Amino acid sequence: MSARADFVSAFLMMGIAIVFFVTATTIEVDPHEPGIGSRAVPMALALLICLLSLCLIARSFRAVRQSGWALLDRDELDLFVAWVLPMAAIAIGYVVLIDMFQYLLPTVVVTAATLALFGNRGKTWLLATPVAVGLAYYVVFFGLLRLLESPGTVIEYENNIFFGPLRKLLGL
Amino acid sequence: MDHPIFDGIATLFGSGWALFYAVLGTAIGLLAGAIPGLTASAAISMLIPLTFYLDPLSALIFIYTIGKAASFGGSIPAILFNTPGTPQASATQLEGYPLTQQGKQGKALKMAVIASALGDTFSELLLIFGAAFIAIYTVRMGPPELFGVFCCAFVIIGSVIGKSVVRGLISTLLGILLSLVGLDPISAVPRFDFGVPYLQSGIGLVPVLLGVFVVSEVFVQIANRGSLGAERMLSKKSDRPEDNRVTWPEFKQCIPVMAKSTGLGTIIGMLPGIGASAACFVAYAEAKRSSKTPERWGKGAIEGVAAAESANNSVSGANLIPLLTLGIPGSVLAALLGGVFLIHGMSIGPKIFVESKDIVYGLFASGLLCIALYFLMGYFGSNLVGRVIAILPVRAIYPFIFVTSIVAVYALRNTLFDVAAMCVFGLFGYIMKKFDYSLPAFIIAFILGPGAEEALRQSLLLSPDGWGIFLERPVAMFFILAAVAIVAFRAYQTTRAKPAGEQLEMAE
Repeated sequence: MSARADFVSAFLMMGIAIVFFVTATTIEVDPHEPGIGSRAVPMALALLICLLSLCLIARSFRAVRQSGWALLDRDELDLFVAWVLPMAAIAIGYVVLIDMFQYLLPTVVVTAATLALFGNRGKTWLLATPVAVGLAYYVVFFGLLRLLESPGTVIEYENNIFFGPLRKLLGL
Repeated sequence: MDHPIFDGIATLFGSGWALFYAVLGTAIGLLAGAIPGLTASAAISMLIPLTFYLDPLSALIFIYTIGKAASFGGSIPAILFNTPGTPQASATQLEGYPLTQQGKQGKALKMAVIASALGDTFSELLLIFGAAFIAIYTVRMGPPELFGVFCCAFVIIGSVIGKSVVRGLISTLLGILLSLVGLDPISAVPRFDFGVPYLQSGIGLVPVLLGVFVVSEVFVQIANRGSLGAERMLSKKSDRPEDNRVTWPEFKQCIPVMAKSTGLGTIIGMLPGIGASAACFVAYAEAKRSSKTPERWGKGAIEGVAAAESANNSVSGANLIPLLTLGIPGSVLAALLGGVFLIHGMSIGPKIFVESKDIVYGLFASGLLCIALYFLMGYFGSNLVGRVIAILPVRAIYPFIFVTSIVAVYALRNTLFDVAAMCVFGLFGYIMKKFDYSLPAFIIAFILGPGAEEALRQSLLLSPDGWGIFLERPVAMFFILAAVAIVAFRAYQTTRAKPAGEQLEMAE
């Protein structure tokens, strides 16, 4: 693993640790509570992470300076921006869409989007498969296993309209 | 002979559902292990929410048999396509694929399943007859001793796996830190909830597991999408019957190798955090070193397949020994099984042999059944599995996995917060993979963190001497000193491994 990766990741880990350390100082502590209290262990862990991160930074500092402070790998960054960020956007967007439109429609859309992002093309992959997958999961999880579907904020419907008769038919 | 395993067998065969899930779990595990990119951990993480609907015995059997069968399943693509289905099959491909190139894939697959079954059986029998015996002693351990064991486990997990001790330890500490989100176990004070009500009950195990193992892999694969879609071609089989079976002289030749590798795998399996991936390479390297004909290795030495497979499968039973006797998982798969125990209200540790004896021995019995099942499936059906994998569209697997994991995590608590948490941990897991931090160390520490903190704080409450209690308890002191010694030794090893001039060099 390169010194550059150590250098960058150490700052990331230290950042997380500092956030937790600062937040730990706000944890309520009963002064009469015996033992070490609620804050001690999280603060100790955060401090240890910071110390180890500093070790990584110290270990990689000279090499990074010799490289002219080239902290980013251009190719990796391009891949991250071109593919990983859109996938992350799809993931977070899926959550938002389910909140707005309930489960079925976002699942069909996101399945199609993910298949497209992975390089699948054609009506079979981008239309038939997402509809089939969406319907299959909807029927199995929300119909047969009776998973609760929260009402959407934009489109709201009661899925019992579809699944009530199905369950009756199957004797469930 | 009166032993609880016979009651366990009766419990297993007395429950139709338990039997059904043992068979289903074996089949799913075999397939999941055989599909490259879909690890047993990912498959189990996705199926854990479904176990909520099952009775405890069926749930545990389902997960256990998936993990066991997947350990063998990974060898199928390793042998046929030079692509291990699971990390623990990486050593199998070194000899397995050259055999395929010679048209002897039938021989390699059959040797793999024989070695897997034998290694797994030994380890399972050790678990059945040894775990309760060890538990008699570990049940006497108090909070100071348990804290010492936790420290030693964290250090082994963080510093033995991977090339960097520092990164491994950071991964472990981060896992423990994130496990503390939620209510303080002693004072019930909220910690690190950041004003989000859902966080007061802590970060759920399943969103973290699915995020770190499944969604992060989706991100890794989308970044590598250029190399996806390479077709897998099945090589032509030899027409000679002896090339498609294991002959008796070959089996005899492999017996000493399998015996030694099984022993190594069992010992490694009992150490927390190391797991089957290390076991298969240790066994392979040792078998090669002690071979009288090392020049054959790398070109299709059947003993290489036997060594790797018997070692990686003998880990699975041994992994449960520290889990059930100390509450410390020996691997990620054991940690996942431990999670299922907790989900169904059973606390893991030595008392489980008293409180849930029927379930534990029913689980052990299912392990024996699973070995018999995957032996039959593998011996007669490996080629069929290979043909299925060859036609699976690789570019569709990850989108399917992604959508499945969303609904799986939603099924847990019916909250979109868990889905969002899973996505965040997916990105976090991707970043950890890119920077070579240890995800197994992170996950195991995340699971053990609350128990370790509780053991520490209880220890300090027990004694008026405070920290001095660790000096008064020799077992606790032993494990803490062992932890210090392991860190020091690993740090010395990794420092010496780099020549002085390269220590600060950029890798690229």
